[in-house]
Amino acid sequence: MTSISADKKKKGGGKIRLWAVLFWLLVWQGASMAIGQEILLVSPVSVVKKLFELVPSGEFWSSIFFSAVRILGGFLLACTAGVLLAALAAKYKRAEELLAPAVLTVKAVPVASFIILVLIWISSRNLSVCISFLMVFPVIYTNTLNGIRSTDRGLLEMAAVFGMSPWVKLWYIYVPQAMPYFRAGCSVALGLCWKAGTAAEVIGIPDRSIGEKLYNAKVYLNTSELFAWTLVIVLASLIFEKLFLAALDGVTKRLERM
Amino acid sequence: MPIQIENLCKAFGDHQVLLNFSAEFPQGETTCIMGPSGIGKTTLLRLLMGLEKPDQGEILGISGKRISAVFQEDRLCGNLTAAANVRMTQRQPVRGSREFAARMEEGFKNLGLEGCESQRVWELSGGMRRRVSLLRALLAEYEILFLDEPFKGLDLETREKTMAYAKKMCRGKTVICVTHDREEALAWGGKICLLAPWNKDE
Repeated sequence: MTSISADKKKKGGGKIRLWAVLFWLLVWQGASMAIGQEILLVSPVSVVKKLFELVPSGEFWSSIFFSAVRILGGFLLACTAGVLLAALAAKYKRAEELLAPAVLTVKAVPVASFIILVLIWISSRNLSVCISFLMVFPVIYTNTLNGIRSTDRGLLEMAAVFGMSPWVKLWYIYVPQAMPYFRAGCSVALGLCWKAGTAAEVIGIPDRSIGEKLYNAKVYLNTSELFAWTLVIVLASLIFEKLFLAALDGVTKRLERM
Repeated sequence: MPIQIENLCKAFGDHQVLLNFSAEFPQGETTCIMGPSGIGKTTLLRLLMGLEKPDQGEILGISGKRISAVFQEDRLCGNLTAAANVRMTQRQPVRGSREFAARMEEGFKNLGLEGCESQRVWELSGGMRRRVSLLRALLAEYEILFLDEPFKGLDLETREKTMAYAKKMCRGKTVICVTHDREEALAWGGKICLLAPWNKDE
């Protein structure tokens, strides 16, 4: 995990084109037809059919709700803790020194080790909150700290000369300067928290979670359901990323127009 | 109380910028600081603003007073609007008072910046940004105003207009202005402090 540069989002290098998606779907369909065994490689058509079977059931939605609340809860907690501790670390060198080993440990320890460890301490129902938090926190902390550190020294001198209050400095100088870094961190972290959160659920198998559905699909070799739930996770992750970043952009615009 | 500078010394590494510099800047008047490039005019201004600590010497008459400034660079928040940049020095920058809003509107008009209020600063030209920076300094609450080449990059006509507005706005206030321009220094109509090599006040 490294810090994500603020200007990364400006480059449209990874733009998804419909034709490219269609190409890969055709490759997948072709490969599935060539193998001829749905249990080994299910076709995209079967996955879509399975998804249409799952969508009308109440259990489908309750599983999504169960996992989303916990994963996003962990994400929001990590954002809050990451921003507050980054502010503290930017202000006090000792705080940064104190936090550095903890952040490095969280970055370096494999997610599977964390999942097993955390399962010993807390119930599997809240496992994804904790794992989502642990995956998101270092990204948000590092990016926000870099954002605060990149604040224009000239603007801080200007604020000192005009005798601006800490709140005015925070709102007019620190927040606008750190926001692109925080946004880039959120963009990466939202994908990470869904991946790690559902992985934790597959190991912890809490009732009525997406992870439990994935686990059952694997146990019963229900490949089409496994792919359908995977597609649900990808879509949920993308939708929440778009919604969260749109909300963040809205706040930034309001701030700029104030 | 005038601003009194006594035996001020400042060096950056081996480079001695100011050596035993003494001067007195009268209260309620404008003093222009002139001198060739690299002589230490901006360093002197930074020392007066409290942004640098002197190696030796004393500055009297500034401590405890509210100050305002136009820096050598514009020092504006590029992604905020011009109006937000001007308002940010106020005690209540978000809401602001009606009286301040009226003064700000008049300021934008007088500096030829009508219609720029809600534009983001990075969308403005260099000359416009300079005037926004000046307007912010002029509308702030202050007793001493420091100006570091405030009209840099402005054409003659805009410069005259801006100068007239600036002079009107800071009448009766203590103003310390760094400039290269002899005509500009004369136009301010106050004391001129010429920094010569080794910074002896002439």
